Amino acid sequence: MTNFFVTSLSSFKRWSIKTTSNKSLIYFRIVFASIWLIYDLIDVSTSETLKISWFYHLPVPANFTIGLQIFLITLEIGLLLGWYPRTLAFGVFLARASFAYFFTLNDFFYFSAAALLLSVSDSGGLPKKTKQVLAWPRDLFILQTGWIYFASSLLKLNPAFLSGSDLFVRHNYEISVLPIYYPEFYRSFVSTLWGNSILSGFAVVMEMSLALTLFSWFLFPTQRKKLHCLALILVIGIHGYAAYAFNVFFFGASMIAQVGFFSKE
Amino acid sequence: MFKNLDHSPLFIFLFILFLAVPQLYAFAMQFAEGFVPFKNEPARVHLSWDMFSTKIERCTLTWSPPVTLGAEKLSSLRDASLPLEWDLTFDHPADYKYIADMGCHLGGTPSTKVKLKCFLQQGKIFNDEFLCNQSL
Repeated sequence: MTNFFVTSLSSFKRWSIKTTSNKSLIYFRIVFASIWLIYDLIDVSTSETLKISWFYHLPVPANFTIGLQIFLITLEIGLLLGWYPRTLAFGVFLARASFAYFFTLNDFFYFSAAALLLSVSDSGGLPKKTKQVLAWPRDLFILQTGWIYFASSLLKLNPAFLSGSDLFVRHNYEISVLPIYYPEFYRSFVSTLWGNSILSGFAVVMEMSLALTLFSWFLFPTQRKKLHCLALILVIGIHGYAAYAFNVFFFGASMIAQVGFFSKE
Repeated sequence: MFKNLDHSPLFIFLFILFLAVPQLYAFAMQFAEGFVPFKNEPARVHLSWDMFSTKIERCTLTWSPPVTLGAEKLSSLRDASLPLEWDLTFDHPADYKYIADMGCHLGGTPSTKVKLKCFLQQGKIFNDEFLCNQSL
């Protein structure tokens, strides 16, 4: 038992000082900040979050919401430009986590986790001027991504999802409201429960495969190139379809960037 | 920030705990709340990454003629927000009925016609149509 702990501790210490190029961290910081800067700018300029107050009592005063969003935008501009990236990443983590406390969207929880990881990463500078930095924040990014897909796919293993009931609701609702072209064969396919059941099965398999691919990235270091390609195909497939069919863009774009940059060694 | 700490194995260990414990706790809570794979649906538990896995039902909602809500005239709930990404949705038909009634109360007339088309579990579709005077 003591031997096990000694071995684990020395492996942990070795892992904690391993280094890698910070190119992927720089790229991710820029793309992540850009995606969510666009999100917050659109949200504030069109008062999308505040529109909730038309129907429900806002959990916090409107001025606080706007103030927090403007604060987020300011920090995101700084993060995008690479000013004090650790400090600003920690700032956006605190701001978004406060926001997520009142507006409990999974997208905001994801943002908070990613920003927290950026705050311990050496992501400053430009992609052309890279340097060797500690690898553990990059590794944690990959583990965090794998965990999100693992947990999400496991929770989808329930009768309502697997029967196609949930996707029936989502597909048919979106077809009714979205200004996106959906061909006739697609409309008739997703209007059936069996069609949605097949798509639900695919969704679970793809998400679980992506999680296992990302975990394998650690277990089989010699196969990282192939695993990166597989992970990229899966993540683009999952979020490309989700954007087309379910009207979710910003979270998916962030996940594609996260998988694309970090699993590439 | 954290620049000098990130070489310390103790800091890294504590950071991993700070990141992982809330997520693992949320995931465990799903099981505590009754989630059983292939048997019971999960509940909404923050940080458990339950996107697309909780049971939902959604409706389209229209008012004719349009009602005034907030600062805008709305002929449908879809008009209330940007169509992409921000589309305002709820998870239960009762919420849509509540919004329909609110539209009637705040900006409708007794003759305003309300139409609800709800997509339900098990592939069912429910249509409802009523005048605002039935809810006013």
